[in-house]
Amino acid sequence: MIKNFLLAALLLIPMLSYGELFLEITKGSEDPYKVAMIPFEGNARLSKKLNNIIRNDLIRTGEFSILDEELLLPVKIVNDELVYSDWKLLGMDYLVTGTIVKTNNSLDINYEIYDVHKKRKVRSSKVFGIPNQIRQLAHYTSDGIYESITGIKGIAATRLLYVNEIKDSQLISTYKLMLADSDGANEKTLLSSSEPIISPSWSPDGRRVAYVSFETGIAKVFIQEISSGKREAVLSKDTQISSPSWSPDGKYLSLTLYQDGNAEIYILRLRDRILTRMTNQFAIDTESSWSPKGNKILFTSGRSGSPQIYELDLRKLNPKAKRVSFEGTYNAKASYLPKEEGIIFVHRSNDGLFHIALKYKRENFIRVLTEAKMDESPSVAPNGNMVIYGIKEENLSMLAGFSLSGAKFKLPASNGEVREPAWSNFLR
Amino acid sequence: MIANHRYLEASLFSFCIHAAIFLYIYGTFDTNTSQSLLISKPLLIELKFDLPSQNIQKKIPALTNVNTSTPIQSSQDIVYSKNKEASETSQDNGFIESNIANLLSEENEIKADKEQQEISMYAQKIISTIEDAWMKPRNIPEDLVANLRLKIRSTGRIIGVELIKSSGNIRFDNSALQAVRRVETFNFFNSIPRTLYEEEFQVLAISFNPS
Repeated sequence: MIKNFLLAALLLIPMLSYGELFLEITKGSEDPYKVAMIPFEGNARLSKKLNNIIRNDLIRTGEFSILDEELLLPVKIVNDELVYSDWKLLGMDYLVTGTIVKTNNSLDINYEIYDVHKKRKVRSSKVFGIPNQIRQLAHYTSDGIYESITGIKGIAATRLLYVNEIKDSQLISTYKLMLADSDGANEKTLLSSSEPIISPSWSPDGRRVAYVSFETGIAKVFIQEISSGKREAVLSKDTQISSPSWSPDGKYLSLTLYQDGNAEIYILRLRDRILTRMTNQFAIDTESSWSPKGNKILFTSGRSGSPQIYELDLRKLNPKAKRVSFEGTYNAKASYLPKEEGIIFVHRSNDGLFHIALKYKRENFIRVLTEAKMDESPSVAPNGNMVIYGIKEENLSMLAGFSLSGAKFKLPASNGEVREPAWSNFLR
Repeated sequence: MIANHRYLEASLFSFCIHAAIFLYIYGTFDTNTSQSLLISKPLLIELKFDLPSQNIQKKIPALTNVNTSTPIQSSQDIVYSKNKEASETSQDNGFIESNIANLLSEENEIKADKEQQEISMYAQKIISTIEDAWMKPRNIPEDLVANLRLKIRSTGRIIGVELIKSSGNIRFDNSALQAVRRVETFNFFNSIPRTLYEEEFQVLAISFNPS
């Protein structure tokens, strides 16, 4: 009995101490790069922490498998040359070593990546930081490792926005607009309100956010500076305004306005707040999002009788919306992949369940990528390899993610429910 | 009039220079790449359809004829095409008029046939080894093709890999490179005759084409 209790207590301790970060890898990819990570030299406590964060970052991409620490061998160096044969026998593709250099007001990380097959050093880099930025430094390091091995820019150092709803004992909700690192750690509250907050959207430089708040009783779009918390409504109109999306150059905001009797897409030039109407339809037009080059927008429209995705070419005079989704009776909330080679969106399957789907431009079929019941609001990472979206588990909203290579992970809320994730651009 | 004439000449001259530049850019004079792709065509077909080996044998002579410009190949090609003519005439005239030249060429043809068979056998082995090591990434667009060039020691050890044509999708390119890394050594290479290795298997171009 006491034994059982002790065991339970032991199991609880790690859960409590890592309460902010509960990362659940549910699936990896089939052919991961095998990497041995030697604990970085220097302060043992920092090294352990660093190692953990980097390890999690790399595993979450689904493209890496990291050798268990117990199986690590000592690094042998003969005549200034690393001995690769041991690592080869262990089946490793890469070896990562590093040192932590800590002074009173600086914390730097040097790291090296060795290619076990080619038998040479493929990267030697330094990350500069200050002592309380260990998480940030770890993310930069793992992005460096990821990029030099895969050739794809890493997204560990990017950030997420999402909405957290917390109910108190009288079941009264508080809505919080939250900011966190891409691994869910380092949560910060940007705004707290007794009325719903929805549709957060990043400015391309990552310094500002736009969102819809119902604090005045109707939907209004606000822009808020992250560092100062300074915020303002984008339009002083007395109409419902929703689903803001920032143009890639940061100069425009596309919006949905309800002033014409039904929802229509408008583009707002932020400098002088000039509005241009983009759609003119008796049906609902909403959920606009920009192409990476800023010359097109995707939006959801009910003009065909069911919600479908349309594309508008902004370079044309009086552009005509082109329908891009044809499968099934519900396709919505679309966004482009970063090279515009395809779109990610919500699709209702024949079984009536909502899934995240992908459609490549050159293909005439869709690929359903998730299998829960009520998957919603997908947001694509800036390298195009990962998607974060909302799921429902036992009636609780939480966030889940997947990489196109097949990895899956979950980010359950530490408190209450989370939904409406938005992935930032690269932040450097 | 004279002035016009001059303009005409000048424009012709300029046209020629530009044409030469464009041809150079498009690789018309680049004999090196076409040589290395020689072996890749049968490989490509194999990866695509798993054709029976006869087709490969047909393909290889056709390709070698195209690439006669390369010095190493040329001598072999001339011999081969001569063989073909010789064998045709010998069939027309029956056995009676066969002379020593015909007999020799027949021998050569048998030898060449055997060599082609060997080449396709080893090519097949190389393909199946790489195919076994290759994991096609998930959720990539269809119709992607990536070409790699391998440099291989006579022991079968791959000493160099180079991406000569990207598919445009980094994950797909990576999977191809990773497959070759995983293979590392073709362990049947020591059974390849030395001359055959030097002619055909020192540098290989491989096309990854899953569609």
